[in-house]
Amino acid sequence: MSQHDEQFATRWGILLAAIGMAVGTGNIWRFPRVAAANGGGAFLIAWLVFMFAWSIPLVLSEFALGKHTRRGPAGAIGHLIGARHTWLGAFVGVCTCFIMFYYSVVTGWCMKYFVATLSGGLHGADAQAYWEGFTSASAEPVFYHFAAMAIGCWIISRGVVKGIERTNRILIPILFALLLVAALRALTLPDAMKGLGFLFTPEWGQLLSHKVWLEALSQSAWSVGAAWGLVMTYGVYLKKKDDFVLTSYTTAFGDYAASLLAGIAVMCTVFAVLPEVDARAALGAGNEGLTFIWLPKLFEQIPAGRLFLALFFLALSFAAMSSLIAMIEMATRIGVDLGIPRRRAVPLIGVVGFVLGVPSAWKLGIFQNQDWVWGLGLMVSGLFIAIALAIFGTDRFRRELINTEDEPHPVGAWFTFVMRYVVPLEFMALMVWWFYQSAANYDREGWWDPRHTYSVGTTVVQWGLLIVLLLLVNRWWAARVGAKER
Amino acid sequence: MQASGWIMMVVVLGGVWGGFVYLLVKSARQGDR
Repeated sequence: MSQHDEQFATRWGILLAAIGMAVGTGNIWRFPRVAAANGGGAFLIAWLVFMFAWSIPLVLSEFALGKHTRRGPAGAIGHLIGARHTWLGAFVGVCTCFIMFYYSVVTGWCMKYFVATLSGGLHGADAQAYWEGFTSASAEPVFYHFAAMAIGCWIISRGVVKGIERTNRILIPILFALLLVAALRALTLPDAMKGLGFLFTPEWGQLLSHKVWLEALSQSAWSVGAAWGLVMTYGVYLKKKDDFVLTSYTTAFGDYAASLLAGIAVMCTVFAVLPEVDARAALGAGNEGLTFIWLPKLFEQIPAGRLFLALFFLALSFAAMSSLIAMIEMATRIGVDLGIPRRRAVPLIGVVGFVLGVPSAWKLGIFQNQDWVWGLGLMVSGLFIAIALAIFGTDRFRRELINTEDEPHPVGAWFTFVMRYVVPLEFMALMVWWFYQSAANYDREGWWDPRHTYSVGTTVVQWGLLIVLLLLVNRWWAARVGAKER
Repeated sequence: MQASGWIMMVVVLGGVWGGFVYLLVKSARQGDR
């Protein structure tokens, strides 16, 4: 860490920043429909298991890596296990940068719908036509993507304490309050119990289904923000005496708590307004379909619906922005580690992020492709972190980098077992599952074709190109971040 | 909602929210170091 780097001022600042990083749009628009579609209560059991079998161990690893090495993903792994492995960490960082490019677009969509609800633009409009008009033929998504990136970069340019810490101190309590209001409103609707039934009633037979377990693992991995390199970056700004085990647990529980509130709000609203067949259609309409087409239709039909729809999109915008700033900070950290002064790195990331996000803002198909490729890439990131720990010595990592003298809550040997054996197994199961989904369900004819949105081919080619490029520049990157051979 | 749904709701909501509040209180008690 350079001597000019700031540090988080308080424990609450660290905690709220970490929860803000974790709670994103996936908690609100993905969790409810995936939980309902996969056995309700049975899914929730599997989902709880993966909090400990994937998310918390990776969050712990990331905090330890960032705090110990004082560098972002590439530098951290290069320092931990030697210069020739720097590319493993670089993949983690660059994968999240690719997510940042289109996540800014999603943040822009949420802001646009908040503005449209407040101004009355959505009121009385055909929600399907409105969404298609917004995303297909207009430059508006590009404008809102620009606005999201500009706001995010402005926050990051203010620094760790005045930017990240202060923003999350405001956004996160308001986000939880908004989710609570939305959940309470939904619970008071007639027939709300039907929605609760779909969310919580367990179909025990589903626990024998591999699909339920793999969907639960995917949801936990994408939602908590483990293996994104974001926690690693925030770890850089911990003081030496700051402990992080309690913060890691609280981050995961906070993320799950937000998901449950969103689940209650969305499921109760959907089942209160729609007959069961239509409710299932709404939940099967995908993230964007449910959020931007179905929910506006549903909120129109409940008393004071416009107000609650505005609150819902405000919550979604806050959730998205608190995650986006973590991604911009991580990208900035990579730049700083490479020797670019912070005051130049932030605008540079802003420009690059805006330009490379424009294709996703312009064309929904490109957005969907990037979401598929780099969302799955996070599983590769998880594996790479587990490999880095294995090379260093997973148990040695636990003893020397997590259970330090500053840490009042030591982590048990279960961490070593999960990181050494469970995470690699989970990675393999997920890859086989999602690639099978592509070949058997999403794109039976063209699953091998790299030009197809949801193909195995597009994933392998894009990851392959990135890995080849990172291997080519590995020596240069390692030298820039000061990683030495071991 | 069936009884199993109510039980699951109490267990999951209680476990996750109970755990979250417990950890928040523990963090507050520990304070800054």
